[in-house]
Amino acid sequence: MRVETGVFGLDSLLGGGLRKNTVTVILGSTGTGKTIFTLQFLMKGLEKGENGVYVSFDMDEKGVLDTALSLGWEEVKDYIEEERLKVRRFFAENVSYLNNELMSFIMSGSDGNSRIVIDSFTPLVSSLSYEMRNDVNWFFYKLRSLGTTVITLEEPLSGNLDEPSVTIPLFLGDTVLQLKNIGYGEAFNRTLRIIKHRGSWHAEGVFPYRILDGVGIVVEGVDYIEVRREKVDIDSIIRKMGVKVPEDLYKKLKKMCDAGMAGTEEAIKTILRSLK
Amino acid sequence: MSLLLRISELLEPFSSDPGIYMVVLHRIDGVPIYVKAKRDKKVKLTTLLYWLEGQIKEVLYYIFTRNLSEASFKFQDMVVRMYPVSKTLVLSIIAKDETPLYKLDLDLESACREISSLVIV
Amino acid sequence: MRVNIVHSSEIDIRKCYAEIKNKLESLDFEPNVVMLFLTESTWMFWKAFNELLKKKFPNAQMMGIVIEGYVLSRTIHTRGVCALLMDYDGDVRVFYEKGKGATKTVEKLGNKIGKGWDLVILAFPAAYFPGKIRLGITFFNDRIMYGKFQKADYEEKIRIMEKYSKYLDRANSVFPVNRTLRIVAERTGYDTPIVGLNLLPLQAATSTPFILANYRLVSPGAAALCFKGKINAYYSDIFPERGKSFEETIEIVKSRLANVEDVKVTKKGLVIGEINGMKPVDFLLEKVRGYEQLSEDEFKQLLDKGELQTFTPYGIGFVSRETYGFTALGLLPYPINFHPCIFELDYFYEDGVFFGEHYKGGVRQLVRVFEGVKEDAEFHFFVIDSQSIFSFGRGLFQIFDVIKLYSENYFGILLQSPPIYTPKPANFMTEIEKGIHYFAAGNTVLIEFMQK
Repeated sequence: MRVETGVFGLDSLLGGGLRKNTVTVILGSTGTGKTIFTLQFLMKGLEKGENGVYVSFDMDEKGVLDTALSLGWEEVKDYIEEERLKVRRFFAENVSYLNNELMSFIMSGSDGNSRIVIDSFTPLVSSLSYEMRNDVNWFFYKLRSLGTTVITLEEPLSGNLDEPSVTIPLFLGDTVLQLKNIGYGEAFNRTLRIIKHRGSWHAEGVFPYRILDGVGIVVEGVDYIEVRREKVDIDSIIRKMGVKVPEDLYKKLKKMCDAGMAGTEEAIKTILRSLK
Repeated sequence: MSLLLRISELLEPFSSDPGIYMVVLHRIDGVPIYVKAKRDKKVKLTTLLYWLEGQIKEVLYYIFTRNLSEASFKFQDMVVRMYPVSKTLVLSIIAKDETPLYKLDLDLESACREISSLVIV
Repeated sequence: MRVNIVHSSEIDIRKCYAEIKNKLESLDFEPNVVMLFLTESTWMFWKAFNELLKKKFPNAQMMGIVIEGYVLSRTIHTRGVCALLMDYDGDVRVFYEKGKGATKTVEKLGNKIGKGWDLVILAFPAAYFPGKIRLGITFFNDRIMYGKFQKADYEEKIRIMEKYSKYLDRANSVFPVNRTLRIVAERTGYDTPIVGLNLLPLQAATSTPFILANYRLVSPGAAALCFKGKINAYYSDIFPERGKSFEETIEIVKSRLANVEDVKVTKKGLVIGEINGMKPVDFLLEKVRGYEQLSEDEFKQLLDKGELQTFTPYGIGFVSRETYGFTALGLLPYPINFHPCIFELDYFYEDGVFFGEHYKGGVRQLVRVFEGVKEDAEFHFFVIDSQSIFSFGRGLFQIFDVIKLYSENYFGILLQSPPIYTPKPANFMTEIEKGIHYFAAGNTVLIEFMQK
C-alpha cells in the first residue's frame, strides 16, 4: 500500500507513491520548494482523514499558516484548530534528534498512521560525525513506527554533499528526492530527481517542476515515462529462445516485465541465454 | 504533452541515425536532462560523457560572452559537437567522425530552435 | 485554397511512416494536389509512401521527387518525408512522359501540356545516373569517342561531340535545362511561366534522380504539375544585372566570383571536349591541388552507396550569344573524358571563365526574391539552391529573418539551383535565352498563390 505524496505528477514517478512507514529525505538548496512539498504531503493526508505533525526549526505555527495561506490552502487553519495537524517550532540550540521533548511532541500527534514532517533536519545534524550514524538510524527507526515521514535537508551552497550531515540522512533515508533550482527562469531550471526509493521502482532522470498558486508543486514527465516503459511479453521471448525456465526464475522475470523498465527485454534475453 | 516528452520526440530521430552514438541535452550545471546513447561495446562513451559534463559551463560561458555559436571536438574516431539551445541548455552529439554533418547541422539547429521555444518562459 | 504540410523527420523508417500515416488520418480536407518530397533518408522507401498517399488520395494530382531538404515555418529539415497537400480551387493537372530520348520525351510532354495554363512546375532529371549496364556503355562510348576526338581536326571534333551529345540524349542521361524549358515554353505558347525542378541530388545513387507522377514512377522521364488561376512566379539570382555585351558581362562576373581565369572551351551540344586544349578533368586537376580523379570502380562504388558527390565549388562559366547573360557548369573529377553539361552549350561563346564559387551578399541574397511579393498572397512555395547548405550551414536559418517580413504562409524545398522560364524577363544576369534563366548555384524561385 502506498502513501500519496500530494505532489501532482510525482506518485507515478515513484511507482504509486511513498511506501508506508518510511522516511523520505527532500534535499534541496534555498528556494527550491522544500517547505511547500512538505505542506502538500501533509495536506494530502489530512484530506484523507489522517493526522499530521509538523516540526519546524524556522517557522512557528503562524509562519506555517501564512505559507499555506499564500498558496491558497485556507483549510490548514481548520486542521490546526481541530488539532488534526500539530505544528511546533523547535530551536536547534536547545534540542537534538535524541531529545525527549522532540520525540514526545511527535508521538503525541501520531497514531502509527500519521504523516510527520521535519523541516528542516539540517539544524539537528549540523555537527554530525560519522560515529553518530547509529543514533540517526535509531531516530529514523522510531519515526517509521509512528507513521510516514518527510524530512527536508538543506543542500550546502558549496554543492559539496560529502559532509556527514548530508550523507548520513541520505544513506539512511528510504526515499531521497533532490530538488534543484538554478535560477535562470527557464523551463528546466527547477528539476526533481529521485535518487533513491528503497523497495520500489522509480523513474530515472530529472523532471521539471513548477510551483503554482493554489496547487503547489506540479511535476512533469509522467507521459514521458509511460512512453519509455518497455512492454515485454516474457512468454513470447521464452518460446522464441526455446529455453526451459524454472518456476521461481519465471516469477522473477515476470515481475521484471511488469515493472517495464528500459532495457528489460535485453536483460531477460541475457538471463535466458545463460540458461542454455 | 509534457516538456520532456516533446523534447524526447524532437531528439529521438537523431539517436536513430546510424552515424550518431549519443545525444545529450545538458543543463548548465552539467545535469543531463535528456540522454540517449547507443549500446556499442567498441565505443567507450562513459568517459566522454563525464568529460562533456565538465565542459558545459565553459562552453556556455563562451556562448554568452563571446558569441560562440557551436563547439566541435575530435577524439580519435569520434566527433563531439555542442550547440547552444538557451541560457541554460546545451545540446551535444557524439558521432562517428566519418558521419557527414553538413546536412545534420540543419536538423540539429531546427531541433535546438524548437526546444528553445519550449523552454524559454 | 487550403494547404497543409504533413511531415516527419524521423530516421527510423517505421516511425516515419507511422507518423505520416497518423497525420494524414487527422487531415480535415480532401486535397486535389499532392506533392511528395522524399529525402536521402527515405527515398529508398518511396513505394510505401507512394502507396499510402495513393490509397488515401487516389484522385489527387500527384507529383513526387527527392529533395535535399524542406523549409517549414521556422525550421529546416534534411531527413524524413514531407507532403504538401493542397485543395486548390482551380484547374490543376499532372502530365508525364516516360520515353526514349530526353528531347523526344520533353516534346511529347510539352504537347500534352498544351496552352492555357498559368503555371507549370516541370520536374526533370538534369542528369540521370543509370544502372551498371548503361553506365558501362556510357564509359565505353566516352572512351572510344574521345580516342577519335583527340586525333581529329576541329570540324571532326565538333562532329564527334555532337554525336556523343546525341547519345546522351537518346540514353536519357541529360535533360539540358535550357532545351527542356525552351521546348515546353514553345508548346505552351510562350505565355506560361515554367518553374524547373531540375533534379540533381547532392549525392547521387543508381537510378536517381527519380520522379513520381500520379503515383507512377516515370524517371528517367519528366512530369509537369500545371495550374490555372491567379499565380505569380518570381526568380532571383546572386548577381547584379547583366551587361550589354560579352565584355561587360564578363567584367561584372569577375567582380562577383572568386579566382576567375579566362579559358577557351571546345564544346558542342551537351559536352565539353577541351578546356584550354586539355581534357576537362585534366584541366581541373591541374587547377585544383588536392583533387584526384575517381577511377571507374570508385565511381561505381560511390554510386552504389548513394554517395557520389555532384556538387563542386569549381566551374566553367559561359556568356550567352543571345542575351549576354551568364551561366555555369560545375566541373567534377569523374572518370570521364568528355565532360557532360546539363545545359545546351551551342548558345554560348567559346570563350569562358573558370572560377571558384562565391556567394557575395550572404544568405539574405538567396531570399531577396520575396521582396517583390504581393500583399494579398495566400501561400508561397519556394525552391532554394541546395548547395547553400554547404555555403552557409546553420547560417541558412537567416532566411527566416527575411521571409517573415513578407510572408505568413510559406513552404520551401532545397533542390539543385532551380531554373525558370518567364514570359516577363527582367534583365537578370542568368537569363541565358529569352525568358530562360539558369545558373549552377544560388538561384531561387518563388511561386505565389493569390487569394481568389
